[in-house]
Amino acid sequence: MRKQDFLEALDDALHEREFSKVERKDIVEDYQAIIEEAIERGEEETEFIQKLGSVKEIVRQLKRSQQRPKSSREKWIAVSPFMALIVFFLLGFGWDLWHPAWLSFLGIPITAIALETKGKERLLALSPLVITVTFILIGTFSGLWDPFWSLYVLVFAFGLAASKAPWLRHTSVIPVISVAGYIGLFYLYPQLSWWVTMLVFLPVLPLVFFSGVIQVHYGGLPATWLDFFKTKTFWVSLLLLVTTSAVYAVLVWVSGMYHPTWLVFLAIPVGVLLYGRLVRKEDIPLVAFMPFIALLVFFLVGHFLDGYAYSWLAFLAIPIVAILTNQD
Amino acid sequence: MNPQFKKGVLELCLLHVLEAKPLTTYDVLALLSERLDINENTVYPLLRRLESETLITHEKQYGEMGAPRKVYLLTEKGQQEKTKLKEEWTEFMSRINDVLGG
Repeated sequence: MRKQDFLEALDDALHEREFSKVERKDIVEDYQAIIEEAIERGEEETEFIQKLGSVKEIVRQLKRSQQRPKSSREKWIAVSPFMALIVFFLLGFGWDLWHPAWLSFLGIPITAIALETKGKERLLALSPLVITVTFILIGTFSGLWDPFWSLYVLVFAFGLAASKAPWLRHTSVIPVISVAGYIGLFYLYPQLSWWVTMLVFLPVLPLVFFSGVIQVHYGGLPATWLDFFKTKTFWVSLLLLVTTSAVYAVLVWVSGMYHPTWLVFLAIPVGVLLYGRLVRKEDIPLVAFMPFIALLVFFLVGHFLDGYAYSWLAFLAIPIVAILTNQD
Repeated sequence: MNPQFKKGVLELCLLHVLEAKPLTTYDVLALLSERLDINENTVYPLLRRLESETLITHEKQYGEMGAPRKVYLLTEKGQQEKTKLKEEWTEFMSRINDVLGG
């Protein structure tokens, strides 16, 4: 059997045994890499594939290794929706704190991410949710929505800190300094115009843009910088950045509303993800779009329909989509 | 050798070889199947299980063509697990030797 036939048979067998799309892609890609490396080391293709054993046996072994008792972390994840509901009703009925008690529901994706991911990946995935909780708690109890909305910029710091390239990791300090600078200027020089204080974020946007493109396109670093500029991802992202900045400037000029106009910038990560899914045919799961969609719905419905009381429900779409698509 | 013996110590062996140096999936499969005379079918699922238990992790190596290669390495948790398994194995072997020797 040749490599391509083997990989197709493997994919079919995995599909038959109900492995998820993500698992199938990962396993088939692993076996492709194994066979390619074996050939590179001088092994004969068909002989090596024969040595790997029958596709059915491979899949049977994989299925068996999956069937293990639920680990304690899986139990905690399963129990988290019920705990969130208890906290929500206790704070709501007990102290009439329905808001911000709804934040307990963010504990569901937070628990899943905290227990299912690790290291820097965990920090990065947790950061938007933890920042949302912090921002809403500060805003609710002290009314300081501004300047503390700037905490969202720290998501970029976590993104940069999670980068594989050391030089990119070092730059994670820039968004932190920008946020500290913005909050500092807000209190020390309240007479300064908003546009002037916003200048502290100027270095963040290009930095995030370049690191984002590098991460999405290469998963690491390009071989040469020339390769980087040759990629379509670079030009698509640049177009998105320029377009959204222009749309933002026009909308602010016309409406005078900085909030929720800033949401147009969500088009950058969503656009890059869409480009990956539709054009580059990458296996980007639907759930990857959900945090952005949820944030958009939350602020739009909350702001324009005065519906913050129920727009938070949009965040529940994240675990719901993850469960329904089985790609969490 | 009895296959059940091999399966019992496969996890320890895998953690041990990764402690020495990071290896690609092919390297792990080739090394263990050759030294333990065990089928590759058994090693690959174990790699996936140990990774899901965060005992090992991987980094992807992108070449100019073909599928990206995973290079596996031991995590801190994996290091602790390996030490624990090694101690248990040494203790077990010593008891077996006692029984067989006596």
